[in-house]
Formats: sequence, structure tokens, C-alpha cells
Amino acid sequence: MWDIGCVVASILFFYIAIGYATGCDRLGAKETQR
Amino acid sequence: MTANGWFQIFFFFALVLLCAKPLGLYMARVFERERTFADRVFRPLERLIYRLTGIDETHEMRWTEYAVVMLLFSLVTMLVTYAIERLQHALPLNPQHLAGVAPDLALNTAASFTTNTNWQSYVPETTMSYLTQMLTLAYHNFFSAAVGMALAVALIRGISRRESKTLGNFWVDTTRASLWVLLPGCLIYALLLVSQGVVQNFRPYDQAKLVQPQTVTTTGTDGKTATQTVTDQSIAQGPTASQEAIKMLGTNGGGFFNANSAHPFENPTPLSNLMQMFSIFLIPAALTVTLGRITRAPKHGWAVFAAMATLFFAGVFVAYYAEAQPNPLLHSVNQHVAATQAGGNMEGKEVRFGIANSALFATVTTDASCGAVNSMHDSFMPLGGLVPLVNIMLGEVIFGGVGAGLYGMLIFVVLAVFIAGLMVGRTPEYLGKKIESYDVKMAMLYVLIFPLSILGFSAVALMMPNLGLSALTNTGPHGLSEILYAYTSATGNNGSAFGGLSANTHWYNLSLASAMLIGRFLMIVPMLAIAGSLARKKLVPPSPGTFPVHTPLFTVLLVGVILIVGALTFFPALSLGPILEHLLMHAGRSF
Repeated sequence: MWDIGCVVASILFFYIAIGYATGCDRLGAKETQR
Repeated sequence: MTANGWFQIFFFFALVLLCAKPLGLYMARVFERERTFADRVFRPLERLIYRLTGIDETHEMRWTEYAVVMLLFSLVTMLVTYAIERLQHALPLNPQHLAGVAPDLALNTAASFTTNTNWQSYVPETTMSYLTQMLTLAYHNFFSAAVGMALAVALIRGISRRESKTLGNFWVDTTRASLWVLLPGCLIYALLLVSQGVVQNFRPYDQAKLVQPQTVTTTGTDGKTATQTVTDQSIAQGPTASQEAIKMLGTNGGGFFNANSAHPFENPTPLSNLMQMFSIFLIPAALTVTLGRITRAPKHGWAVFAAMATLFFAGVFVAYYAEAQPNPLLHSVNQHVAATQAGGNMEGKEVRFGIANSALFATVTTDASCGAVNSMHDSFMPLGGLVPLVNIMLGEVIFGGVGAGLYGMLIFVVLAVFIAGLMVGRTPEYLGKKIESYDVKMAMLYVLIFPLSILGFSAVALMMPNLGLSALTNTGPHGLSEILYAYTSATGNNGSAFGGLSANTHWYNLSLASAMLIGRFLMIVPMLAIAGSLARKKLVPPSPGTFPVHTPLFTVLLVGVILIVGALTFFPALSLGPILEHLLMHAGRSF
């Protein structure tokens, strides 16, 4: 159970980090359009 | 403080200064794919790696692709590390028949080594098999350092390129960092360490008979005490020198043994101690020259180096001064320097290194994100212990981790030129690139994530007696320093421990793992966003309003910005920790 939790938590963190990178990129695109 | 101590400190720094330029120029040629003297050896190997792995070395990546590839690579290697730790009892090279690592500790360790932190909540010689140490931990020592260097080079390219959408290729940069810089460096360095007496073998641990058997009283989990006579000592062995080399050169810091660089098999002589400190600073210092070379602004590279050197000497002065002072609580003890004693505070320090080299090591290891220790930071005087803490809190930009130090410092450079632009009422520029709203937003994101993690996790740990406070062995301001240091070290990806905190608990393993991941990856993303943004910009010709970034004034401004950001953020916490402890010590109280 612990193993599943640790693996899922790790994947979730990196998924959030990729989303965060995409968000930063979108913010940059918005700022360029202004 | 003694003249001999200062001579050793200046000699160490002169050595770093001497080697920074040739290595920095070599790295610039390596990362810009120019010809070097090592082409004949490494170029065929590099091509072979690309052919075997299917990497197209001509493919250029946008910052988002660079970031996503780096994140996925880190995730996969972290999970493989976790799996090997858990299964080590069923894998070879485990002569001590060590059990699989507990899941929370395995996650903590996997996050720790993936992020170049190397925080260790365990005793390596009784927890990790040789295979785990070599296949996963040493592997991360190489690749987490190579990733740091690749990221720094990506940012440098962002600064130097004009109207470009790309920053390079992550696979090529990490391969080049490992193959052309870290591997040859470690090969030579490991042999030098072996020459000093660092062990390198696969033998089971030696057993020795004690000359004087010891009687030890232990308290079990049920609270009952038991007395036993110990007649044998187990002397740990292992492939230490090879791991020690990358531990220091890659600013990793995770010890092969629990005592880290205080262990005589890891750091046996004053010469090996000098080599270890030198190897921590070597690549980070050289990267400032690489910055100057690739951006075609060598004076700017030296101005950044000067800012780092200023902060380094300030730190080492305070640490050495604090540790060389007599302890005011020991009124009746002669603590003056003499032929038979070092004077000052020798608690937690190795006699073979003394006060100067312990204070210097503590400063160097926390200026850089290394985290190796040759003395116990917990045993430092309050102001001596303040220095390692502040060094990490400033973002480890004083030379810093390999790559991480430089890109952290360049974020402060962006803020410094922004502030300079505000002061003179001009659009801020950095090496011909306009610094705009998006760049400053990303820089502030980078700066704010750091204290949010440190202070947030520390506050939660302090508010939960059963989870956070129960692991402490000291109370009062010293206890606060221990918790604050743990989260600062984790978020800063340093990995050194203040001590006095039994961190191998579910709460600390999981919260410190989270802090390490946040401190590494959530700070890299905005940094790469700045790199991508700068690469896209046109070059603006210098005007009378341009703030020059190669002058002493720039260096002073940069140091000021770093200190102000650090002081404003962390001073309240520091005043309740080491500063209060210092004042109470002079009032006659200890914790």
C-alpha cells in the first residue's frame, strides 16, 4: 500500500510540475500578445 | 583566529581562482560544441551514446520541451531508485544482507538523490547495499549534477542567443556534462583520494577486537534499560573513493558513511580535506567563466565571480571568528590557543582538521549545495551555526551547486538590473536584452517558492508536537534552528544536517522529500521560462541609460539584492533561532 502511495505521489508531483511549466508558458504567450 | 588558519583559507581560495579560468573556458567549448583537446577520446564515445540511444544531437528544444524532458527523466530515474532500494535484499552486491529500505525512507532517499540534495535520514553503512550505493545513488550523483550544469548552460544560451526559440538539447547537454567534465574529473580525483587512504573495495565489513571492551547501557522501545559489554567493533568498508569523488565534484554531499567527510575512510588527511573543499567549488566557480565566454562578456562573468567571492569571505570570516572564540559558558577552562590545543570551540570537530578547516568546510559546503560535512554543524557556536544556515537561505548562490548556483545567481542578476532600471527610470536591460514584466514575474516566482517551502514546512512541524517536535533532542531556540535547518537544507537541495533531529520518521521523510522536490523542480521551471523569454528577445544597443553589468558597482548592487532578499525573508526566523541562542548563551543559558 505504501509503495503504491509513494509511486502515485511521485507521478502526481511531476504531473503538477509539467502543468506548472505549461502555465508559465501560457502566461508568457499572453504577455507577448499584449 | 590564527595566521596559519587564514593562510590555509586564502591558499584554498587561490587554488579555486587559479583553476576556474581554464576549466570554465574548457566547459564553454564543450557546451558550444567547439573543438577541444579531448575530442579524440570523448567525441567517438559521445557519438556512440547517441547512436545507441537514438538521440538526434542536432535537435534543438524550446524551453518547455527542455523542462518537460528534464522532469520526465527525473521522474523515471527517481522511481527506478525507489524500486532498487525496496528490493535490495533480493539483489546482488549485498554482503551484509541488508534488508530492503522502508518505503517512506526509500522515497525520501530517491527524492534526495534525484534533486542533488543527498539528505540522508539513514545510516548508509547499515542501510544501503553496495549495489544501491553504486547503481542508484552514485548514478544520481552524476546525473543530478549533469542536469544542473545543463540547466545553467540553457540559461546562459538564453542570455546569449538572439531571436531564438530554442535553448539547446537536454540530452546532449547532460551527456556532455557527464562525459566531458564529470567522468574524467572523477576518475583522476578518485585515484588521488585512494592515494590519501580513502578505501575502495567490495569486502564485507571487518571485525576488530576492542583493546578496551566497553560497557554500554541502552534503553529499549519498552523503556527498559539493558547493559551489555561490547568486545567487537564492525569496521565498514566499500567502494568509497569512487563515490566520494562525484559526491564532492558534483556538489552532492551524501556520505558513503554516516560520519560523512569526518570519517577517516572518506576524508583521511588534511590534504584530502583540501581536495574535497576545492572540488566542491571548482565547477561552480568555473561556470562564471563559462558564462562570460558564451555571452561574450568575460568581465560580467568575473563581476558575478566577485559577488560570490565577497559573500564567501564574509561567511567564512564570521564562521571562523565565532568558532575560534572561547565558549563563555566554560569560565574556568583555559581555551586559549597553545601548542597543545586549538583553542575555541572544538566540540564536534575532528582534531586532524582543526577550527579553521572545519569553519571553512562548513562555509564551502553550504555556499555550494554540497552538504558534505567534516564537523557537526549542531555543535558550532550559535553564530558559527548561523553561517551555514544563512548561506543556504541566500539560495546557495555563493558559487552554489554545479549549475544550480549559477542559474540561481543569474535570477538575482535579473532582479538587480530590474532594481537598477527602476532607480534610474529606464527599462532594465541585461547584456542587451530588455528585462520585461514576464521575466520579473518568473524571477519573483523563483525567489518566493524557496521561503514558502522552508517557512511553511517549518511552521507546520513546529505546530505539531507529535510529528515535528517529538523528533527533537534540543529545546528552545536551538531546537528551532534544528527544524529550520532541516527544511532549509532540503528546499535548498543542500542535504547537510544540523543534527539533533531524528529525521527518520514518516512525517520528516515525507515532508522533507516534498521540500526537496519543490526546491528543485518548481524553481527550475520559472528559471527556464526566463531563459526561453530572453532567448526570444532582440538585442538592444547599449545607451547612456544602460546599467553596466561588469563594474564594481554592479557587484555591490548584486550582493545588496541577495542580502536584502535573504534578510527580509528569513531574519524573523533567524532572530528566534541562532541569534536568540547567541544572546542567551552570553546570559548564561544553553540548550
